[in-house]
Amino acid sequence: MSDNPDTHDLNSDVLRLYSSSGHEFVLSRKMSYVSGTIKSMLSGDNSNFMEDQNNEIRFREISTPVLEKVIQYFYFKNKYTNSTTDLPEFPINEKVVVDLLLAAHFLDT
Amino acid sequence: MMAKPNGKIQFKNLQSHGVLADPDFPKRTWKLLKTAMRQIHQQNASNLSFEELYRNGYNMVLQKHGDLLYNNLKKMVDKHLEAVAKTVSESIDEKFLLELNSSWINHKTSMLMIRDILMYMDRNYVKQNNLSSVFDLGLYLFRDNVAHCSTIKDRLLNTLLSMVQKEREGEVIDRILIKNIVQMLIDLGVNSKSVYIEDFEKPLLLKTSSHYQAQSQTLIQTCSCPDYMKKVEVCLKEELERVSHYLDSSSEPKLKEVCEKQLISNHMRTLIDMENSGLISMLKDDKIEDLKRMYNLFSRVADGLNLMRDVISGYVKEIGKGIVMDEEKTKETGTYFQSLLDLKDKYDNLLQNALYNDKQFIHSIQQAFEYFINLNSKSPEYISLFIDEKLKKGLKGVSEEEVDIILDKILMLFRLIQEKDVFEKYYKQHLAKRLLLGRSISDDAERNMIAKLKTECGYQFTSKLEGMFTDMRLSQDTMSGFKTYIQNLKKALPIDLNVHVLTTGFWPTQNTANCNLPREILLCCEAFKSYYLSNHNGRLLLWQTNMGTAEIKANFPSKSHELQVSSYQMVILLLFNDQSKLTFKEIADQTGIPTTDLKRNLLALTNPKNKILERELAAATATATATATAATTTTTTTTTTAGGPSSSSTATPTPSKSIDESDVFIFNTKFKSKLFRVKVMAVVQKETPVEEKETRDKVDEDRKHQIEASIVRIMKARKTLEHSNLVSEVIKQLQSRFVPNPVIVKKRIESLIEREYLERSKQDRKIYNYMA
Repeated sequence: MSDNPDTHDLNSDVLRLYSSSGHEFVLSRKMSYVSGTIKSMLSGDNSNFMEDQNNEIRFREISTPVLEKVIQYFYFKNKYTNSTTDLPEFPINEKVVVDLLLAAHFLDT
Repeated sequence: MMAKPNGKIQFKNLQSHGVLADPDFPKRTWKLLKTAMRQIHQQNASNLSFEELYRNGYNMVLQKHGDLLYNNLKKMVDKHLEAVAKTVSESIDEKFLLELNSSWINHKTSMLMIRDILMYMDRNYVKQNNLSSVFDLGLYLFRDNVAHCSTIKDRLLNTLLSMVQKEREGEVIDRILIKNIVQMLIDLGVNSKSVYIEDFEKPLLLKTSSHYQAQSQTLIQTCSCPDYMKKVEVCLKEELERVSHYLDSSSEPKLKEVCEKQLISNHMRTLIDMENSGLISMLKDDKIEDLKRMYNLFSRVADGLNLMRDVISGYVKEIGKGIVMDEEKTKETGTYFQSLLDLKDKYDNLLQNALYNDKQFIHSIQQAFEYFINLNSKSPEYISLFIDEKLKKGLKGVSEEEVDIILDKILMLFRLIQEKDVFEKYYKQHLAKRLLLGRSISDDAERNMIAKLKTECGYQFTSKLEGMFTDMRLSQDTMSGFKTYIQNLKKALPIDLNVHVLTTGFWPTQNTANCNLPREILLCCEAFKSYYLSNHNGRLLLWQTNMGTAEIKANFPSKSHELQVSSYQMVILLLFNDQSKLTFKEIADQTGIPTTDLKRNLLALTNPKNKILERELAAATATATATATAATTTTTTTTTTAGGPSSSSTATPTPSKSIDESDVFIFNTKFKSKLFRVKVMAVVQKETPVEEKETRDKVDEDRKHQIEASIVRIMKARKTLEHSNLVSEVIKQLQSRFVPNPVIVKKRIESLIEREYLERSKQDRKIYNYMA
């Protein structure tokens, strides 16, 4: 959950995430490390899973709106961790709240 | 979202959508995972989707199939490792460790990957059921299936031990491989080092112990002590390197202990006692390097230094005793002391260069010195004599710093003397002689010495000595005053008189049976006396004729000479102005010099070297006719003030080639000397037994007073005190001067009670009260 800056190769810094419907999101690897699951998927010791090689992860069970919200949260979390300013509210649409909760659990976020 | 999913939020009633309640689900999922894990085990994971595997593992646990997943995983890894163990145990000798190592590395990688995809199981199922995490499970399984496999365990141990042994024998081994294997054993203990300790460290220590036991046995029989120590140093260094190269750092103290025990502890005594190369001969030959080595090695083990210290101190005592008790050396005070100083130098050097100035060593060597210096009751006298010698001539042409160094060294030995008051007595005597006879070469050196004694023993100790210096200075002033006085009187004195006025108590005055001074001198003395008393009313001047010196001119038939003699000798010689032949008795009657002193001085005058007088035995008839026109006294030095009489000697010891009371003395007209000034040797500087006893008595008398003073001081402060406490306090107070005997202290207490300074308490006779 915490932001752990990793010394991963800068060339592979771009990570693509796909929702269940195939929608593509592009973000920095570092941001995604907010999720424990993604982090171990990508930075496990010599694991070399498919995801690590291709720099893309396909989430078969996360819908586009939920994944978008999750990524928003990644940036939100990165921005305000160790920040001294007051924490603004993180807006969540009530309709996705349960799905979001499940996704968060899955992603260990 | 902000909440941490740490198990508090449960999703028991929620089912992940997309996964239907499919009865085949667990089986199907496991099959999928199993295939994936096989591929992981084969290092072939690039086709696997982490997301898929993770999702499956996640769903399995979520749908309460965690136990199935966990147990199946265990079974699978178990089976895999069995195969691994088989491969490893079938590998041939050299490849064995390599094979084991590579399968360990692979296993670790695989387990890390499996752990990652089953992360959700670790987080939930494992935690809730208090099981080992996936990775730890992998370690346990590897330990049980591979490391502890019957075909591997012993083989592994033996291989490791034989490699270590090979290295000890000088072969080169693959340290990195061993390090990896050792690290594996450490890892297999999971959270402790138990596997490493049980499987490797303990046997290694045993092996090491027996190895060095055998080796040290051979070495000690074939090597000299220094060689042995050098070899031990090398061994110990190698073992430490071994630890840093491939053992766990926690093994270092254990390994060190084993080695030190076998190599050092077990052989300390043998090493020390080794003939021709052991500790004693190292000391004898000043083997600083070897001693340092021994110190370093012995400091590693318990009691090592104690043993070494005891032996050194015993040896120093023995050597010191040899010097102190050596009849030959004690005769020659110079060499006696010089050898002590040399000894001290030697051990100071040793302490500094080999023993790192170890406080305990310093202390025990100090004690050894103290022990033997005080063995010889004459040590205080000798120290004083040694200083006397140095100050009289030994320091000529030596720079001030060097003088300082010499004096400091002497003081170091002085510090060890218990009977400092005896020293003071002698020092006073010697100082008096130096001052009165003008023998001291450097006033600065004298004052330096006094200053050192003062810092060492305090003001009280040197106040009298300082008083002596003051007297000397005052006398100089008095003399110049006297000279002016004489000039003003316009009256020339027949001789040049130089008087030192000494304060009683400061100087070691002896009772003097005053001798009969010649008329000319008496005249001068009277003149001085009247001058002095006119300036200092109410004082009493006493002449100490035994301490003076004189220069007289003697006209021998062939040549005239100037003779430097003592006052007594002068008095004797002047008699021969009137008569050429005198019997002993006549001399004694006319001069009034005490028999002992007279004999001594006559002996000096008849000494074959400077034969001013000739001696004839009683029966012999004098044939030589002497025309003695002798002796005009030029200078006399005499001394004085009111002095309390002390015991006089009645026994007459006969100095060598004794003078008989019936001897007859004749002025030697045939006296010849190349020199114009002839110095008549003073006789017998050393104390006769009687004088020695006298000094001793005086010291004892002084001590009585000091003890009493100390008792009164203490009682005045404390008012009441128990006997034993009082005694110990007295001893403590006087320690800097001498060590009082408790029996004597007790006597002094009794005497004080008699004189009503103290009284015994009525309740308890052991308690004293101070009476104001």
